[in-house]
Amino acid sequence: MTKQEILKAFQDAAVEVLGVERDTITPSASLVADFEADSLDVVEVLMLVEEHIGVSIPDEFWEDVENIGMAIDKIEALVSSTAP
Amino acid sequence: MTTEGIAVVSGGTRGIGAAISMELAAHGRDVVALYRSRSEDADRFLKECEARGLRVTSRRVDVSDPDEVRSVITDLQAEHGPVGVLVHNAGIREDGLLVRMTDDAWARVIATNLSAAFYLARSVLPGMMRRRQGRIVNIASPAAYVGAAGQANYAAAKAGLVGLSRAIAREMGSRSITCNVVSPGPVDTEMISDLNIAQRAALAGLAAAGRLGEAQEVAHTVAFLCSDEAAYITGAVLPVDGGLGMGL
Repeated sequence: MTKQEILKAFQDAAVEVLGVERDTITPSASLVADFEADSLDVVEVLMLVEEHIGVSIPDEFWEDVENIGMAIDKIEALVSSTAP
Repeated sequence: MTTEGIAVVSGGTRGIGAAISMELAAHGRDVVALYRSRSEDADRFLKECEARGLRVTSRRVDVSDPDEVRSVITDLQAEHGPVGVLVHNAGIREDGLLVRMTDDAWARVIATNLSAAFYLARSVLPGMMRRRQGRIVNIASPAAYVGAAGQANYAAAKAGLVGLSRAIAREMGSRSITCNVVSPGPVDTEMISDLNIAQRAALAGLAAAGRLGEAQEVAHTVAFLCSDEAAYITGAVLPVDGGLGMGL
């Protein structure tokens, strides 16, 4: 799975949950700081991302994630380490 | 906006649960009644629903098992579409004085009466969140707030349902999902069929109404809480107890 595909998953989810413009969801964007997402919004976005990419991600995974780019990097590493 | 989707009622083929399943179906909703045991009772219940022209099906599942709950809700959503209404009515009693209560009696009652509500809510809420609508009703008991000698496990589980429901109400309020508790008093169902006439009379005497309640009276209240008209009621405990608790 490429970083572009994971970014698309975030864009799809953020558009659905937060009603934001797709182009505003960039690697440097933060759901909380830039879009005033509350904790439930964030969880909902992450659940949709999990659904899109077909991977279940534990909550602890997100602890030090500050923006979407960091999330994409971690997910890419996770997916490649668990790929068959 | 009318809440879409099917209704899932745990413990939905007997007693109060059967009345709830039928009442929701009578309001035009497709209902799946969950049951754990006594499939002959479930068959009889389904025949009665069919005779009344109600769209009710049933599914056997042990709601105290988180894996079974996850799997049955996934299946139901694939077969029947989204779950718009969840009623956790399944409940068991294993009474005994606390000093003699076994670990198993404690754990079984907590698992079915309380933990199952958590497992069910966890399975249906993601879909409700996405659709920005949903109704959850948990069935408690006056034992939760007036105390009940010989029912430490049951009272703890039912009181736990109140806290759980209010947490859900807080978490999900912004998504137009409501979660409420209905607290039936002494209702004339099989659950109290082991009581003798004097015990039944004593139970009825606890209520200001001076009689046992009927399952249908509880079902009407549940159906109201699941309706559009109840959109601004959440985190509430609604007693249907003939005046047994009166604000307790």
